[in-house]
Amino acid sequence: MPRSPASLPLFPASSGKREKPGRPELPRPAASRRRQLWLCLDFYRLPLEVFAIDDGRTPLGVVEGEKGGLRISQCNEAAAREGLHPGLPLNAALALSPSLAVRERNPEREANALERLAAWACQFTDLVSLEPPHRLLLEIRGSLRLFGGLASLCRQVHGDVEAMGYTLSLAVAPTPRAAAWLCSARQDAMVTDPALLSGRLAELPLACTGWTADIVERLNAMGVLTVGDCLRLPREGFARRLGYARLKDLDTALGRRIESRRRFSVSPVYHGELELLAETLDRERLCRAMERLLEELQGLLRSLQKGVQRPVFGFVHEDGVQELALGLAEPTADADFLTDLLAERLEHCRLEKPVTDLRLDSGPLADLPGTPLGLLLDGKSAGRDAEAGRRLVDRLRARLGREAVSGLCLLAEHRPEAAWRLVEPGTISLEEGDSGRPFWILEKPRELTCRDGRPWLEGPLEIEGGCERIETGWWDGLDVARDYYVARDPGGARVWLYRERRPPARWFLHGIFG
Amino acid sequence: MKAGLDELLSHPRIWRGRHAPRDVETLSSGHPPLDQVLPGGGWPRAGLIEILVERWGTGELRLIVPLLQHFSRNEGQAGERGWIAWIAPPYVPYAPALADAGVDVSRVLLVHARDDVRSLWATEQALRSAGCEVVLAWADKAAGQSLRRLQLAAEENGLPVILFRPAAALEAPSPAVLRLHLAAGDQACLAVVKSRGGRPARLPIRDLFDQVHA
Repeated sequence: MPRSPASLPLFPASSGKREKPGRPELPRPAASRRRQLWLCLDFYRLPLEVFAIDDGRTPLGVVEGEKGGLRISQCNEAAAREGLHPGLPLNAALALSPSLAVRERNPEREANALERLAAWACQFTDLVSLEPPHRLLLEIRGSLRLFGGLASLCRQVHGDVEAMGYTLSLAVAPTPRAAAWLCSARQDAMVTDPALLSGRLAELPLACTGWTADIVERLNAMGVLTVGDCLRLPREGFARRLGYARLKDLDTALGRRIESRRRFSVSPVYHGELELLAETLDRERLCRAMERLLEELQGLLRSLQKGVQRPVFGFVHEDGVQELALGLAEPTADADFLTDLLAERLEHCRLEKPVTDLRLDSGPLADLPGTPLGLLLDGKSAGRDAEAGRRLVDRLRARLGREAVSGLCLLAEHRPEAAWRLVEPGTISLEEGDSGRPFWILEKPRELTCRDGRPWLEGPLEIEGGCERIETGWWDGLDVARDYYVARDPGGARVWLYRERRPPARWFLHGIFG
Repeated sequence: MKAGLDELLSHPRIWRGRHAPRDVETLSSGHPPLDQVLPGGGWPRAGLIEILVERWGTGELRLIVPLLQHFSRNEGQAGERGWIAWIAPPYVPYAPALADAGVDVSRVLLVHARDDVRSLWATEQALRSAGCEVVLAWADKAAGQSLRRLQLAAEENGLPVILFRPAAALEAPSPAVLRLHLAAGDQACLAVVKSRGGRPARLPIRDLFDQVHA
């Protein structure tokens, strides 16, 4: 490494002996602080991806610039195939691709999406920091063991992001600034050893630093092309010419100066929106698109260790919103399960109009039933019968309707028709059963005709015995006075009937012994 | 010599009457005469069991109540308490009678379905959910295809599913592991129409339920 004797290196090559530099003072290394490891997530296609999930067919371009001078700032692959590229004036782009869907860049939407992604990222660590416009910084040193190591953590991040339909580039470094710079290079660099950091950073072109184009051009004109070139410049001169802030950037990237990052705090409700590229009634597409919002919601729920019980799905069409609310037997944080339930519900409900936008509201969050964190992280937490049982109830209700699924309970009551009730499944009864009762009950006793003084049910009924008198209920006006008998019908079934003790002394069928 | 013969006879492709294949687990039906004619000495632990009846209410519930009692009892492991699912029953099961017969009413899951397609779907969901101990289902019409799905789902998940159908279905073939026909009337009897690894048999109802009639 040639070095002019007059120039004082900005950072000495990492040897044991450190030369005492001139002003400005070289900050002391941050060895006293606990070692950190930062993961930078760069959603570099966010301006495009906030608008829709790419269906691979519709060309879409996001434009920005002054009125009249709008230029393409990002376009999807379908548009790129038609010859579009960033920087192209909108007029030229429309000439190339007449069917191009055009959206003006929407920084507010991008900021909202980044915050939702930050909430999702909180499941991986308690220190997530926003790096607008489209990056997140996560301190992950403490999370590595929980997620089974760096590679496994990154795999999970990639998997989730893919499921949400975003494009991601990531990098790992001992300092947040270095992670962000490495991330700009889009090489998925993983630098865990601080000793190797300066070497890796030195290779980066200056564009990765995020400094203004003006400054980068000035440096390039001086023959300073990479971060490494910068590091060989004298500190004092560098700071004087390019601003003290630039020097600070280099110090923080190398970990000589601590950068304090602002912690992102999760808001305890979720509201997500997603525009569809083309309006649709296709349930499968709607479900797939909703998966992104559900995946974001799942991340938020995991970080808070909460669940949703009454999520509301909104399908926005030109005249309003059609809402679909789910009511679950118990709170859940499982996106796959919610997707399944939504698919079931959608299959059986009529969408009023073609849908243009999707919404998802978490509703109030609730504590998860005592599920250990380890199970939660596996994603597939089904397996315990109790939980699988409750999920079955939810699944059946999603398709058949809420009333279609119920449990039974016993009530302390002598009138046979009032001794039981349909209840929420799993309700424990404290009462004891009654002997001599049939297994099937008619919800309403059925009046029987009489022939020759004998009750008749597709033939004469042969009384086998068992006269039981039930007289009760005088206090609430629904009093009964009946004599119950067991009889056999001509088809061979044993039935339970009664005769009123008061005139007109009709016969009723009340149950079947089965 | 004997060992060699046993080895030969244990080959899965050799069928011997009245002997269940070795790996089939069974549960006592609670009716000794029935256990005697069922291969392996009871209900198969997993798979589709069809009970065909002339009319609802001719004894089909009494037939299976001991099985429901069995599933009500096994509360040893806290996590293993699944539903006793009743899917599309023709009437409402009467809770006081079930409780009296030793069935845990709090574990009964009643599912109402508008048609056979929905009830067969619900049955399959119940089998695949890992949340049930046993599934009882009622259907008037069921295509061979959907029966095969039930049989497969039951076998894969190690659960018994008992499907009650009208006797008219006797003529159609079925992939069920066990098929019983409950004939009512004067010659009331229970016929084992098909049993994997067993033989057809016929039992007078009086032998089965004599304790009730006594």
